[in-house]
Amino acid sequence: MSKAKMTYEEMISKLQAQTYIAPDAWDAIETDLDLNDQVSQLKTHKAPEDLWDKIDAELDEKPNIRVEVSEKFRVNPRTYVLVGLLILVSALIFVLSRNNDTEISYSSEVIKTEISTKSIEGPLNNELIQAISFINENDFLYTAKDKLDYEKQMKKLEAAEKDIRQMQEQYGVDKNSQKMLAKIEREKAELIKSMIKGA
Amino acid sequence: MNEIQLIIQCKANDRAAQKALYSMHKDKLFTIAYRICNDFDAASDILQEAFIDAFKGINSLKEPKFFYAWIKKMVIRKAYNYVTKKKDVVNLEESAAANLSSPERGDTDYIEQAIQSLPYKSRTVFVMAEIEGFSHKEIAAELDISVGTSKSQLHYAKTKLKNILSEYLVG
Repeated sequence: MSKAKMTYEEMISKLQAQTYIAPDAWDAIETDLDLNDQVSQLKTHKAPEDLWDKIDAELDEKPNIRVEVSEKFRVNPRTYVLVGLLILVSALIFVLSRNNDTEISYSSEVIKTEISTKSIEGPLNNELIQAISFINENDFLYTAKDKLDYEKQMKKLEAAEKDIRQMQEQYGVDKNSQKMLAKIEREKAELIKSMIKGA
Repeated sequence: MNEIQLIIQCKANDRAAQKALYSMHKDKLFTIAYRICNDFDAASDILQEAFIDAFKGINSLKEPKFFYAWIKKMVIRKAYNYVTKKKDVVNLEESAAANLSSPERGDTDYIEQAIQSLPYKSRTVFVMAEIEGFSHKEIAAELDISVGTSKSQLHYAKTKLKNILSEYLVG
């Protein structure tokens, strides 16, 4: 080894100048590049024309899902039929019983309504009929104007009553219409009473 | 034919131009690979891989004048990956350090052995920064380390080399 000392910079220069001779790797490089060329030049094979039709058909088929059930949990098909029948019968019984309930409640409502109507209309109607016949029979007791007003008022109330009854026939009886009828009856009674008092 | 013309012909997959370009740069690139990976056979494989990759991807190189810089970075990355993955790299460094006592070697061989005794990271940074002239920013980008790490690794390498070569270095 040389005993002469050198600077750090001289050392680096020596290293920069120093090169190792590479082993000849060209043959390996060329072989690889040739292979790469050949691979890139390989023909592209055409897929069969009918391949898509097969794929399409395969995709259209419903998926064949089979659920694996162990023997332990496998049930006889007859059991399914029996359970189905039981459910059907139970459902029928339930529906029929519900229908009966509805009819009973409906008829009770009708009866109740009729009773309430009668309780309002019954006594009032009799009094009204008597009072009206009294007014008509004692026509001379009233002035022409009073009689005309009375008839006008009575006609209005009767028209209103008629409308409400028509509505009840069409849409059924409800609480409000019954209240309105009762109110009309009361107004009629008041009108007749005032006419009798006036006499 | 100059290097630029060779590269243009390489882009047309001219095999003769490829061989000429290979012959032009092989020794310089082999030296870098050998200094980093500290293994003759591995350096040979790295050189081969780098040239194959370069010729296959040469059309992505926009400026032909940067071919050498481009392939040099490829070689450095491959060599650094090799030493990073190699398990017995420490043993190689230890054996290189042990061989330093050999009295029959010339100056350059002794310096080379001193470099090879460095740990792989500081060795790579030293080769890139001091011999190949890379900046710390470039080294950091190529080796995926921080600029600070690059600087500290270089400082460590230089200090250790100066200690090893104290008998032969002035100052």
